[in-house]
Amino acid sequence: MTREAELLGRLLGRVQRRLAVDRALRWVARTAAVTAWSTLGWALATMAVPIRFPIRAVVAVEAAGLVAGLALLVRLRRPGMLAAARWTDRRLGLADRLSTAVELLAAAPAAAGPGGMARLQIADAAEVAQGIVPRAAAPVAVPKESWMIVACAVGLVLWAQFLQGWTIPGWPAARTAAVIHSEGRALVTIARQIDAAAQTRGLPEARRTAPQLRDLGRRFLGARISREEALGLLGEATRRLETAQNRIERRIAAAGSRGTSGARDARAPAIPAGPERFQQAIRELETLADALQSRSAPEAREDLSRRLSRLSESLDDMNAPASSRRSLEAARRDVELGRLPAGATALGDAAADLRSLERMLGDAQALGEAQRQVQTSADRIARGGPLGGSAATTEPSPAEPVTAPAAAGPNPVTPGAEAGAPPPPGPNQGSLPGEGRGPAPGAPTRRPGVTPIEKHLTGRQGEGPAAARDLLAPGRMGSPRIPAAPVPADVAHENDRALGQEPIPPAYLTMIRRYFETLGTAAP
Amino acid sequence: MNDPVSREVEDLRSACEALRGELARVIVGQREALDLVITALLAGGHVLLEGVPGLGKTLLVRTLAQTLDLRFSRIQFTPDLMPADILGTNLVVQDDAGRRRFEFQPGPIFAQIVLADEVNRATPKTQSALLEAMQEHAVTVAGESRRLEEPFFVLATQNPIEMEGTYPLPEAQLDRFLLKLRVPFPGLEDLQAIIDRTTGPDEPAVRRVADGAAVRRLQLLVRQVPVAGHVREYAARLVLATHPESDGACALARRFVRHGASPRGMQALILAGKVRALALGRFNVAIEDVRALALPALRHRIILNFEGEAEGVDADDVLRAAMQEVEAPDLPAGPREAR
Repeated sequence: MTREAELLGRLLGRVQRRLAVDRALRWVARTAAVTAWSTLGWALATMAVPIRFPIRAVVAVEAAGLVAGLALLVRLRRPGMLAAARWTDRRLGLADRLSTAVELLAAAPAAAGPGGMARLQIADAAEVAQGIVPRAAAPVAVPKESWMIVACAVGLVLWAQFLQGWTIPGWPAARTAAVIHSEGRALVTIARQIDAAAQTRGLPEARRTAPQLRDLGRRFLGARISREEALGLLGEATRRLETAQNRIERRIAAAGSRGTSGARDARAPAIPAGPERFQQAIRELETLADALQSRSAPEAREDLSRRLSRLSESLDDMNAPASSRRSLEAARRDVELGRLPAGATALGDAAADLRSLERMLGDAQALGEAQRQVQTSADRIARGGPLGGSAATTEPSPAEPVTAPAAAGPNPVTPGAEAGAPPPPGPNQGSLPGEGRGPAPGAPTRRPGVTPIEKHLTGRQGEGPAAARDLLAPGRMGSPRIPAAPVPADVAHENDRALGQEPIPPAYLTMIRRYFETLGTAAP
Repeated sequence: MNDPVSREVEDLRSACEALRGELARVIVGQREALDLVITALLAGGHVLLEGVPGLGKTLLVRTLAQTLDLRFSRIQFTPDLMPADILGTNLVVQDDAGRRRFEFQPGPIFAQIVLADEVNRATPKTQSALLEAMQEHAVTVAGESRRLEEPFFVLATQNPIEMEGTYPLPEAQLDRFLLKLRVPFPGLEDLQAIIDRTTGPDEPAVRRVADGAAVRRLQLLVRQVPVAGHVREYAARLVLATHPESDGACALARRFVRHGASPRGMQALILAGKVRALALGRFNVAIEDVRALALPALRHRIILNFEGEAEGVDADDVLRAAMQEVEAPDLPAGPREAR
């Protein structure tokens, strides 16, 4: 009986394994189908709601889970010997031979073994088992749910290729995408400003940072990008900016402390005053240096010495670099001693020091602006905040060319509005073109006495530079840059008509007319 | 094949083949009926043959008795037949000394193959005389129990169409039959063969192929065939499916059955299944054996209700529905796809 028992055990053991694999495959296929449908649903849901969907991580985790589940099931859910025997009987039409034999073997005392008819039955079953191929008894078939898994995988690939980043208009995901888009515009704008400042003032760090910011903004504008991806990119940009900022600050601190001694060392690493005061001081130093160089200083030496003393105090107040203060002190001594060329050279050195520091401050300021913008963009994208771009609320810097609030449109975004505050009411309230809430844009307000010109501006709301610059230099004498031209007759006529409609006292009216007539006669 | 059990199994198979061959020399067609009669004989049960007159029921039984070296008796059941006519009675006899005493005169039941022809023509009282003999293989007359010689095999016939003046067998009596066979009308070829075989000058002769001892030995051998647990469970569930009050009852049984098959039906399924398995060269009972024997083993044990009778529902319909609805028992811990 041992031989028959071994034969049956060997065959049924293989059938058991194959059954376990088949069963596990079916279970895993069923689970995989459900998971795949869920994943596809998740992917499609990102078009409606701004939820996170890291497709690679999700697919990797799912695949790992399913493989682990398969291995566990094969190991743990292995059918028993009797089940395998019954399966084989049923599958191959063996008229319950194997299952009966397994029962008889299990029931017989191990030592005595089954006797009589039972022994014949077991021998018969073993003989039948010899001709059985386990593959035929328990075929491992491709689960019928496989097509669903394939379909979902294809769907996911198609989604990743063509639909990822698309949003359904009017749904939260679309609003988030609009915010990302808007922040992209803001980043491009701030990059342009930083680049302009870098070109104008020769700021090396700003020159390096501007293209990065611009590329980031363009990526937000161009590619279909998810909120998580956008936040990741912004986080990376923040880290880069912080690194650059720290580098600049260290250099500024080093410049401030260079050459200092005694009690001033304690505050040496402090960041100096803002760049505008430095610019003033530099201009004054350069003016004085030019004057000394050309020996055309009109003042007496005492006056020059006093101006230099005031300048020196001013530099102290600004926490200017010690080297520039020393140069200024040397220049003052040279002036007092009548060595004007040497004084001019010393003043030039001081101005050069200050200019170098001014560039570093400019870099720091530009990086700070960029950092603030990136942070604001990150906050707004994270919150899915209001549209219009955070550049609209960026604090203008007194020394920097800053962007005006978003370009005027029917519903310009209110500068300085709270992030969560509702946009001003209107037919296109807080929206981008084509996404207004109203049925149609309202009719333009008729301006009295003006014939409307049917000319529409192209482009998108908030797009395009609108710069404001603070002119700090004194006005220059000379001819105006825009030459006066004779007032056209139609303008004069329109002017008269407009003046006639205004409630202006007749005496003043006459004066105004005369003024414009004078302008007309003055024109060549 | 030196194993004595193997030799006995071989004997059984050859006996079956020989019996079938001898019967087939006389009986044309009716292959299934022949097989089932042999099955019932080897299972130690009795057979109720139902069929219209002239189908060879009586001939079948008589031929069977001829092929086996067994004592045969035939009882023609009539309405005036009394139990004593079957069982026997005590007669007053006078011996040579002039003393009178009672002496038991055995009836025709005291044989090894008993043909109860047209059993439904006798009164229930007479029919019941068979009860003890069929179940206990013994009869009690005048308070004295007498064993019947083994093997004891009753084959009863009844005509299903002539119901006038008949007494349907009571349920208890029906339950004693292992199988109820419906003898079908022969087909064209069989009818032609009957003409050839019965109207010619030569009458087919049969030879004896086994004796009582051999049959008894084979009957004991059959009982050794093992039955797997799930086969037993299937047989039990099939029987339960015929009971309208059972949880596992089939829809047809719930509607048309008054009483389902008895536990004897289940025993009949397994016993007959054992014979079938051995005859087919197997040493175990399979579910397919149970299914193959469900109709002859259970059809006479199902009592239809009034609605079933009125609708013309047949017990076979109920059994087929039950077999369709009752699935093989669940695999213990394996794939359910095996069903």
